[in-house]
Order: sequence, then structure tokens, then C-alpha cells
Amino acid sequence: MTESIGDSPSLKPRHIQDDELGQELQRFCDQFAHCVPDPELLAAYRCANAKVFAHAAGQEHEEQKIILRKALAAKRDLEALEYAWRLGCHDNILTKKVHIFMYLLETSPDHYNKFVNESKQRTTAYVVLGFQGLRSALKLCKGYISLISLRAGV
Amino acid sequence: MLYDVIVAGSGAAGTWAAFGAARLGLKTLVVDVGLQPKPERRLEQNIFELRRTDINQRQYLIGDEYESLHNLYQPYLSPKLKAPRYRYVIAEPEASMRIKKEGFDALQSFAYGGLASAWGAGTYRYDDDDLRKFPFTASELDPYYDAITREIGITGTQDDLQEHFGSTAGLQTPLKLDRLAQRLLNTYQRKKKYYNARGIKLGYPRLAILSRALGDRTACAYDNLSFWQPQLPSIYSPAMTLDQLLRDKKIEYLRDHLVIRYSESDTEVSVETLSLKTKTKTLLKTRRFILAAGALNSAKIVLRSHDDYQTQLPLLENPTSMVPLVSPWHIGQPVERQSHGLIQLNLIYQRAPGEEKVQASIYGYSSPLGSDAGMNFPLAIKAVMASCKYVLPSMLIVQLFYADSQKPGNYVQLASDQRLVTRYEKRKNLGKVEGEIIRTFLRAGLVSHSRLVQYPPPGNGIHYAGTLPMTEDSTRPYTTTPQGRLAKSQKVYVADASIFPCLPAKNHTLTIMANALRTAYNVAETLRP
Ligand SMILES: Cc1cc2nc3c(=O)[nH]c(=O)nc-3n(C[C@H](O)[C@H](O)[C@H](O)COP(=O)(O)OP(=O)(O)OC[C@H]3O[C@@H](n4cnc5c(N)ncnc54)[C@H](O)[C@@H]3O)c2cc1C
Repeated sequence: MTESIGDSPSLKPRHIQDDELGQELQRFCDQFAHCVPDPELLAAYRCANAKVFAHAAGQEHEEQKIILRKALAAKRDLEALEYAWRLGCHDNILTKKVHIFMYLLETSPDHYNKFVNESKQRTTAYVVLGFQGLRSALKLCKGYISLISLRAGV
Repeated sequence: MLYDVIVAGSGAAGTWAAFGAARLGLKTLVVDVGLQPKPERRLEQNIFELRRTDINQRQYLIGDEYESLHNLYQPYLSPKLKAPRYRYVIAEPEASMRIKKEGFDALQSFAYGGLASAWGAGTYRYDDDDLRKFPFTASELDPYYDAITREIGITGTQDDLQEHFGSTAGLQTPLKLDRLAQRLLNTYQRKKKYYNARGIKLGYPRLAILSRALGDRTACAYDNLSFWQPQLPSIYSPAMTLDQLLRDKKIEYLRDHLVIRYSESDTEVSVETLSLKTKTKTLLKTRRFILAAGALNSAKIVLRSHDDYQTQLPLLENPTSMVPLVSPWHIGQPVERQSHGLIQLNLIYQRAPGEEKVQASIYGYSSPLGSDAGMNFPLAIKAVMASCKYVLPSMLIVQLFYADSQKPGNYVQLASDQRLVTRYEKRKNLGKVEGEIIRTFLRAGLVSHSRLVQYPPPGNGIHYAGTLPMTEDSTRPYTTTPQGRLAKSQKVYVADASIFPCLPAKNHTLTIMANALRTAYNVAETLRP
């Protein structure tokens, strides 16, 4: 699949940092997956965005784009921002982009172990989930503050 | 050429109407759009093996067109129908003209084998209680249910649900349950009194999935492929029966043709079709015409044949809801690698005799991608990822189906641009049964919360029915007689769920098939010299 995407001239991966989508992907990779975005992933991310946002329009969408742009420029904590945004309104641009990223990650053998557990690990699971639960609560506070400040003036 | 019978549609209804007609020696033609899956390399390994190793997995998990991202930009669609290789099942050729959806996310299939090419294979007999508004009884359907059971292979057993699901004659032994479902069933069996006192009965499902080989079909491979690979040999689809009929030259099949309308004379029915390839119209002649294009499309063909843009025909669907249940004890368990991925258990909820009955299917969460469910967890992304890994294998999903009956606000109508309008008012006051289930299953160590329950919009139950209901009073227009003949018509019959006067809280496709077979026998009766 990705071969044909990569081959299409309009979708040929440019340098990762060249554009907004590249920047987003870089940040998602850093924050959520601790991986380096390769050209194949970028090509897939670009195509998926084109598909999902093909008909996105309207004032709300434009405002959301501005918030996201500001967040990227200010190097805000995207995980915190996305979480707070999602709890308030599931249908927002950042959640959709993160969702795309999650799908792409989950369908790559390199990240298989991040999503699938193949052995019995109850203790590890409880520790990880407990930690992540607490971390989520902190991220939520941080995200709300971030969202309020980013929304100001939009 | 004059056929004895022309059948419109090759879904569960059309295939079994054709099967019956062919068996009785009638010269039968099936007219169908007949979309097929793209020819692609079949998936044969366990899905987890493929996900662990295959660098090209996005092709079938997400799709060249990014089909699996569907819910991010379009209305909700069940995970199976989003899967790239299943998209042909609900693809709509341009000429079919999309449905105008007013509060009802109607799905229509133009596939070879119809919607059941992507179904969950839950196959349940209606009992007399389910059929109380039908002009026939369960015992009249039994011979047809028996014949179909022998042909397609259904698994199930004698247990607490037998009184609801009917005879166990000819059933194959049940499929192996996933760990969590097995544990729930064991708990239920130990504490049956407690559950029964709360109106809950639990048991094995009836599934058209083979637990042992039948003819050239192999038994279930427990490879978790059912959400990703259509036409698995162990899971019955009407396309298999159709293939067999065609191989044995028992019927003729006209693909790529859309039935537009029909007209009747004293001696025959003329069926007007549109070729999707050449865009030309053809008139086919038949002694009897059987409509089996699905409850929505059959209604549309009838209304178009009468140029009727006024009448509102009733529309029935099973409202549905999804209750996630998590077993904290199973958090951190390995993923269920060996699973068929479809219905694990069934549940019947009826608080007291005479009160509303609700049927539920209980699924594990092994086959679909975690991202589908994970983003609904109220957690930050890294916690969502950890939950996909550690929590999803400890989760069961209870999908409830409610019964439906005719209501003035729920109807289909033909618009002046020839498109079908579907209008449906969302059922209110759901949530009580879900709450009871959550409270009761806490005792089995399964945790949930009413805020996690999802209520997919109308249309997502995908059990459509009731547009041309059967009644004893054959003078009412747009109804069908107990024999399946369209009222005020002499030669046009209806074999799909259009004829249902009400829709019980039970998956209805086995009954569609049984009634279609019955209708074919009724038609043959009228053609006897
Ligand atoms: C994901 C999913 C899971 C399901 N699970 C279950 C389950 O577990 N148990 C259950 O009982 N049911 C289930 N169902 C529902 C079940 O599949 C349908 O109820 C059943 O297939 C309906 O059969 P039908 O023949 O009436 O109509 P359809 O399956 O809709 O078939 C219609 C046929 O008519 C043809 N057609 C349509 N219009 C025209 C026209 N104008 N001219 C010519 N041909 C036409 C189409 O090509 C198609 O072949 C499920 C459905 C889905 C999608």
C-alpha cells in the first residue's frame, strides 16, 4: 500500500520537517512512541490526513487549526492538550490526528508490542495502568490550562 | 424467454428463495447487482502473527483508501464493515441512488450474497412468542429451519437458552469459548438462581460457523480473521449456497443488473432491469416474481412500480446498545490468540414473564484494532495505549437488541427524485436494562459504568424489516398475504424481512432464510399444472 503512496509524485515524502504534517508527526512520534518517523510513516500519515480532512471546513475547523498550529509552535505538551480537548469535545482536529497516528502505529510490526500483550503480566499491568492513570490526571490539569491559554484570542 | 421464477437479490432471502425454487424444478433466474470482493491474496495466518510480522498489513487492516479510518470522518460504522476487505458488502453503485437518511443510517448491500457476506452468523429460530403477530406458527417454519440447519451447519447446544432458540436437532457441537466467556458461563452456571432471579439467562450462541467440517467447508480455525478476511470457509454466507446452485447449473444468474420496477399482466410479470455496465434497460418475463432485495430495496421497487411518492411504509429495526464489561482479574492476561472473534455467548433478559424481552450477544475484544475502542477510554494517550495492551483482553462487550413494532414516525417513502427516504425516531428510555446488566454482572467480577454504554444511532442495528408486512387481511395495499404474495397482486411475492409485521429482539436472518424457502414452496404450489 505505502509503496504506491510513496510513488505518487504529489505525495512523495519531503523532508520530515518540511511541512506542518511532518512537524506534527515528529511530535507525535517523540511524545507517544519514542520513535523516529520514517518516510513511509510520513507518506501514510499525509494520505490518511488528506482522506480524513478532505471535506473538513467551516469556522470551527479553522479555529481548531489555529489552536493546533499555536500549540505546535509553542511546543506545548500535545498529550495533555489532546486529552483535555477530547474530554470536552471528542470531535476535534487534534484527537482525529492522534487517532490516525494510533492506527498507523498499531498496524506496524515495529510497534506490535506496544498494543498487544502476549504473556501473563498482571503485576506489570497494574503498575503501568496505575502509573498511567495518575499521569493522566496530571495531564488533564496541564491540558486544560494549555487549552484555555491557546483558545484565548482565537 | 419466460422464466418460472425471477428472484431479485442474492442475499439470505434471495438465495434461499432460489434454492427452494430450483429444488422444486422451476426455471429460476436470480437478478442481482452482485458486487464481489477484490481479488487479493487471502489471509491465512493468525491475525496476531500477521500483525507481528507482516510489513504490508496496512493494506488489509487500514486499506489503500484508508477505509478503516471511516468513523473519523463519516457516521459510525461497525468495525467489520469498516475493514477494507469487507467494504464491497456495503458499496453502492452510482445507479442505485443513495438512500436519503433522516435519522436512520440505513445500510444497503449490493453484494453477491448480500449483507450476510459480513454478518456475525448468529442464527436463531423464532418461537411462537416471537411470531405472535405473524400469520403462521413456529411449527410451520420448523421444517424449513431444519432443512437450512442441515445445509449450512449451525453450532449450539441444549442449555438455558434452548426455550428461546428452539430445537437443537442437527446442531454441531458449540465452538470453543474464549477464556473470559468461558469463565462467565461457569460463574453463571454456579450462581444460576441469582442471575435468573434478575431476569438473566445465559448460554451458548447458535452460530452458522462450523465446529467440524461440512462438505468441502473446513471447520473454524480460531485465527481471529473473521473481522478482516471475507469468505472464510467455516463461516456460512449465502454466497456459498449460490455458488453451489450455479456450479450444479440449477439456476441462472444475471449479474450487474439492478431491478427497477415490474408490471403484471394476466399471464406474466415483466421485470425491468438496468444494466450497470451498459446502462441499458432490459425487460425480463416471468410467471412469478420474488422480491428479495432486502427490506429497503424491495419496498423501493414496489413503490416505483406503482409510481407512488405518497405512501409511507412502516420501517422496523432492532435498536441496539453496547455495554463494555471489564474483568479486573484478567487485566494483564495475554491476548486471545485462538478465537473466532464473533459471538461468544448469548443473554436473554426478561425481568418478569410478559415484560419486554431483550436479547444480547456477548463478544470478546480480540480481532478488531485496539485503536477502535481505546480512544473512547477517558485517559491520556499513553494510558490509552497501555489500556489497549492490558485492558482490552479483559473486556467483554454486550450488544443488546430490543424488539421493534410499527410506529407512525418510522417509515420509508419514495421521494420524487426516485430516492428512498428512511426516517426513524430514536427510541428513548434505553438504559434501564443496561443498568441491570451492569449491576448483575458485578457479582461475576465484571465492572462497568452506565456512562460507558454506547447507543449507536438508528440504522446501526442492521436488522431491517417490516416495510411490506404480512397480514391476514389481503385487501390492505402494500401488505403481503400469509403465503408471501403481495396484496392486490397475483404473481409478485416477497421473500425478505419486508414481510415481518413486527421485529422480535432476536437476530432475524435465519427466519428470513426459512421464510424465503417457505415462500418458494408457496410459489411452486401456484405453478402446479
Ligand atoms: C456486520 C453485520 C453483522 C450481522 N450479523 C448478523 C447476525 O449475527 N445474525 C443475523 O441474523 N443477522 C445479522 N446481520 C444482518 C443480516 O446480514 C441481514 O439481515 C440479512 O443479510 C438480510 O438479507 P436480505 O437477503 O434480506 O437482504 P440483503 O442482505 O440486503 O441482500 C440484498 C440483495 O439484493 C440485491 N439487490 C438490492 N437491490 C437490488 C435491486 N434493485 N436489483 C437487484 N438486486 C438488488 C443485492 O445485491 C443483495 O444481493 C448482520 C449484518 C451485518 C452487516
